[in-house]
Amino acid sequence: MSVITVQNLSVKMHNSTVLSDISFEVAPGEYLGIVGPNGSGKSTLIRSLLGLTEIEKGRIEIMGRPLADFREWSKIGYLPQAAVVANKSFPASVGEVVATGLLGRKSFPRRFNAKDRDTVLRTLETLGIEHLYQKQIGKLSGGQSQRVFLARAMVSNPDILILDEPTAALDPVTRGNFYETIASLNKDQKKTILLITHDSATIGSYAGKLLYLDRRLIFFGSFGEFCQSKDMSLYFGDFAQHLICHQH
Amino acid sequence: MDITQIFPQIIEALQFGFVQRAVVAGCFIGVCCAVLGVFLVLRRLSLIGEGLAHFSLAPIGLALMLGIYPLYVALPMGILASFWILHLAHRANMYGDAAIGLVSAIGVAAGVIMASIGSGFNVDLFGYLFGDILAVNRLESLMTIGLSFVVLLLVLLNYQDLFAIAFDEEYAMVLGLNTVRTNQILVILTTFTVILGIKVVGIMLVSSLIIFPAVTALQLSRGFKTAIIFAVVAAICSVVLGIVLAFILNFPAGATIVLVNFVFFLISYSLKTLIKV
Repeated sequence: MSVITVQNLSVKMHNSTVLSDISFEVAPGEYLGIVGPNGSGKSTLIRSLLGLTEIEKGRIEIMGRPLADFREWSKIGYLPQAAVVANKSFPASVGEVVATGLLGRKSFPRRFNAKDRDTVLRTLETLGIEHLYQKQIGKLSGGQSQRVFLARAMVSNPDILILDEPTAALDPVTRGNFYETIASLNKDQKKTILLITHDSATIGSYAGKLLYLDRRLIFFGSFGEFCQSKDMSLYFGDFAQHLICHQH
Repeated sequence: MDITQIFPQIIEALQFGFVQRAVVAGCFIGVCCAVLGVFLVLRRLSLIGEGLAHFSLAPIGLALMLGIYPLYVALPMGILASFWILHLAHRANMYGDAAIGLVSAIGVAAGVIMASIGSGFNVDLFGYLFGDILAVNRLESLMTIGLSFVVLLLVLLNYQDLFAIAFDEEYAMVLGLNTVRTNQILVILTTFTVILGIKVVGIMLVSSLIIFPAVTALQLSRGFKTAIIFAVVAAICSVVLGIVLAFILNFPAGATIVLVNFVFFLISYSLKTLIKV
């Protein structure tokens, strides 16, 4: 059974079509790289999956349930685009922020206990940032912030991780480490990963499948298939396809 | 002024029932404003207090014209106005500050027209515009205490939701939290607090009770709970000190409370700057 099913999805924003007739499925434990140029609708696709954007038509199912009926949001971890703290003086510690990721599985009135604190600390340890637990969230570097927000996405031990351009603000070394961390979550913990990136060549080294989007679905399949595809060769041109396929 | 006489004067002042009621009502309203203020300031919604206060000029004017106790009209109409602001901001795609400005302007305009029609109650309206904490009666004092318990209980029960939404509303939605309901709770509590706070410092200054303690606390706090505690302490100290100073110096109490708040903010801001240096 697929964990995510998208059928004939179309999204309009301000009377202009942002996504048109998108269909694909994601199997459990799969690593899907979502690529495409600026304005191609990558983030809109992710936001539609999370119920943050109204869809015009089509059907989305998460873990076998229609999106409107899906309630187990703690099984999905989300790292938003540009995951930086807008208000640098926001009075919250890393521990407080990461703990919010646990709220989805708590019922009203939501309270944290010692076990939750341990869970937060363990998650931070997994990412090697446990020393940041009490640090004010606005005082972190870009790379540290990114890991803290990844910790928030991971803390509820979700089955699916959705990451929207997680490496955009990172330097090359931190970016490499980040991709390795995500790859190990996919391999070792069997997490399903959906990762949006502009970096088509790098994602090919990690993702089992690639979804190329340009307001419509241009390609959906394995990276190998992408490199062999005559259609993609026609779409990108031989040289561009060669560059994408042989940079990794 | 003989400085040695100040302490006995304070003790003497606190013997009066109206001063006791003023201190109690002021402190409870101050605490509610401070707690809600931290959430509102961080969400850049602090002007909702100003908007609701200004809007309340219309229901207060209407009540005075009809000879009804003003809070009975101002509270339900204030809640309607707060929902209207939320509706305009979310459903009508209007910027939040524009929605607040629009509702606030309608309230002020209607209030001014009612004041011009029923000129006989202008003196009462003046009291609501600039506050009259020393005239807080027993009913208002009890209402303030009751409301404060409700506000603090609801904030306590919804604390994690309010915190998550203040930090990242979209992420809170992804977590499956009911952000619409939590936002409604926040504006209803703010409406009740602001309208009861009008008696303390008046329509023109009530939003300062929401903004000052919060921004004072935010200068020095690194954690969220610490920020709330600092804001509450700043609010209580400014109300007590403001009332005492007003009594001694024969100043208007509401304005004195606001200026004491400003002094606390300056101290907090200076400390922050010194710590940074």
